[in-house]
Amino acid sequence: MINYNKICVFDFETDGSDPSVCSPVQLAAVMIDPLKLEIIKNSEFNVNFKPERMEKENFKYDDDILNFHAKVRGCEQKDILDLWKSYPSQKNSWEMFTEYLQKYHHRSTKQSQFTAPIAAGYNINRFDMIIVDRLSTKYNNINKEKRQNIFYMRDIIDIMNIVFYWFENNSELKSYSLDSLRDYLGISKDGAHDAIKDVKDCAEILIRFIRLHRKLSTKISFKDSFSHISNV
Amino acid sequence: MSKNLTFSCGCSFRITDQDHIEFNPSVIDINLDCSKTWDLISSGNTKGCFQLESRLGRSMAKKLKPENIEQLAALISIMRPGCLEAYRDGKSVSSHYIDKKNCLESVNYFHQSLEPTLKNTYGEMVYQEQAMEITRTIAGFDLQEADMLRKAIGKKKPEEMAKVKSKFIEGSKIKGIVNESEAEEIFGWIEKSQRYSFNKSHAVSYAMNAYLSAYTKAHFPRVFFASYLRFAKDKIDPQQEIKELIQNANEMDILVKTPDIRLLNQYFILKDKTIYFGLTDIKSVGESVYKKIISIIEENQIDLNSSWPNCLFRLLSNINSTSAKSLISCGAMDYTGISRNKMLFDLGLALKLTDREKNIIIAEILQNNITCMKELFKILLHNGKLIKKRLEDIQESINLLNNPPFSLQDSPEWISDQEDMLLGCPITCSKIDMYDISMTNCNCKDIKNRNYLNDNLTLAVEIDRINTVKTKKGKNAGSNMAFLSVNDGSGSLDSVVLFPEQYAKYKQVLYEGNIIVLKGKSNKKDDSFVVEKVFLPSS
Repeated sequence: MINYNKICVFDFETDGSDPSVCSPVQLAAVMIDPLKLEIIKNSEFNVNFKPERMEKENFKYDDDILNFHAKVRGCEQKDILDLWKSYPSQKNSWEMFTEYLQKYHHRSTKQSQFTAPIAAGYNINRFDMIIVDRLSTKYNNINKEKRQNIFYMRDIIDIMNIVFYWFENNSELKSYSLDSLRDYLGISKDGAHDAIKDVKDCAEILIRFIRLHRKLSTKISFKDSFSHISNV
Repeated sequence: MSKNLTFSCGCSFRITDQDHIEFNPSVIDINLDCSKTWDLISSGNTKGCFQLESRLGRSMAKKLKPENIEQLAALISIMRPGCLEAYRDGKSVSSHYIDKKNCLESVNYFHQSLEPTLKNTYGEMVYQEQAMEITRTIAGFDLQEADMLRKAIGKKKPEEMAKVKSKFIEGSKIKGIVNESEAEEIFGWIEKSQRYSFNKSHAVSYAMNAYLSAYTKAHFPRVFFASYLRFAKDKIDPQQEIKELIQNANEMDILVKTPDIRLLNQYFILKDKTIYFGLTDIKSVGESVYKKIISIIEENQIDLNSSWPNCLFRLLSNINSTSAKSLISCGAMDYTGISRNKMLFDLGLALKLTDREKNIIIAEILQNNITCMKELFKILLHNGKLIKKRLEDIQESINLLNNPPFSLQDSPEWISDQEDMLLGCPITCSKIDMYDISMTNCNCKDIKNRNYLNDNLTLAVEIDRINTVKTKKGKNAGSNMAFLSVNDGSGSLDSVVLFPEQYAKYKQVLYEGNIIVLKGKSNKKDDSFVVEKVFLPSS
């Protein structure tokens, strides 16, 4: 049973660290072909969002967040604010993303949430998916159960979980952050925290783990492995 | 029958309409000894031919190789479940007939007196008329009595059967051609055969129609496919029908193209030796949308050969968005030379404009012939008639046109998926086009051009279907083996075999939709392909 749904590795850059209130300022994604386990050619998506806060007259940002973005981009805090102001509205950018996802539904069947790409990313369960749920509710991309309907409903691949299972006993990995993982795996950190660089790195890491998993699964049999446990 | 009669009329119409060839495919005038037609039937290339279009029909036509209407009628009769399921000496009646016709089995008539009746069917009782004739020869039945026998067997009433049987035995005694035990045996044979035998007059009329459609396919293949594609909508699975017909058309070097909006044809048409999809053959473009397209074009005198923005703002943005997207995605607007994704992107931006804004743009297109999307949006921005909020939105659109968030190129995979979804099968390209399949070129180019004499064939294919079965015999008895149906855009292969060893080795890469490279041997006799190795092509 092969899952034919494409895997969408995505990442938000935001104007805050609390996913329940912050606004996205950038969203990047790439698609993985689930059969060939390769990044689909020309599948890169990259869009900016004007933060919701900037829609109001007297908005204010903490220095911490502006410093962080200024450092990543190598510019001043003021430049960051000017840049964010010039970004397209959240509604338009979100619409672009949902259109992009629709392009990568499972082929030749009727499009539904079952044919939609599987959401994947680093630490997405605790961060990015919360934003997805918020924006889906805001822009009416919800199903009957009032949950987001843009991604496959049965599965979310959080690469951080996979890393945890493989490295829980490995002290060489300093932490479970994406930067530590990049250091450990020998992936360059040039351009890190730019959403498109992050998603490409994550996609390559995920592909490596799925390949490993597929190879191992043919060699390990679970059949009757619980049969020695008596039924109580 | 009505569909096939309509088909014949359709052929007649389209040939005179498009190619100015006068041809009326009538069974009365048609040459029944056309070698081209019999060759086509014998090669099993009978997709679309009346009664012979199923997989079974195609394979049995290939096995039997009928040479005349008599044999074609027999073929249509022995293809029925009764004949296929009626076994004698460990073989179905159908196989007996085929082997006897091909001189692989000797012909006997049980009794010499039956030879005149059974000669045409090589000693097999295929038709109900033969049974009736035998009762006349052996027992002297008149036509009414013979028909009673047919009815009695058909209704399976024991009392009536007993009556007819005793009449048959008595009659045979009077006639004296066979003795009583032979008469009993012949009656038993008739009884059994009537469970499967077919009405000859029916079979011959079917055969005439089958021949007529095969004749059209052999001599006017383009018309044949255009007509049959038109009727594909009426099939239980139209998508599968379109797919099979187009694959078959490709195998016969007939060009089938995606719809072209400039032609404004509602259904499939044949134009300049090319078959084009009709606009209503696109999923989500119905008759009402078609009529709307025609009326918009006529009312506004739109020249579809003009610029892309002209078509976009004056036509596509005025029909429902799903239909407009489908028209673009399936290739109906490809003549513009712009990628389908770019056109979809532009459509998305155009749909966000108000009617007033669209009218400003249309005026610019008509007055100054501006064909650049960015330019048109910039004019809108500097028009001075829009409110601040709208200006921000227009500026956003310009930014998106300058820097689209995703690639606007069309990948072969996307194109083939869209065409598969909207037209029923990929037309412009195959998913295989995405891969480096240069390794296949030294031994074999594609399915259509494979060389049967070459023992070492390499084919790059997409897997359509997988059927796994357990082997019953041989050293690997009980192991799984697989039969694949594959295609490569040029044609399809239905019997690709992976024996247990190969299946176990390569099963990881065998799944529907996967693109693989097969190395193996092709067998022309049964058209199978036995796989030795499987590779994954690099992209």
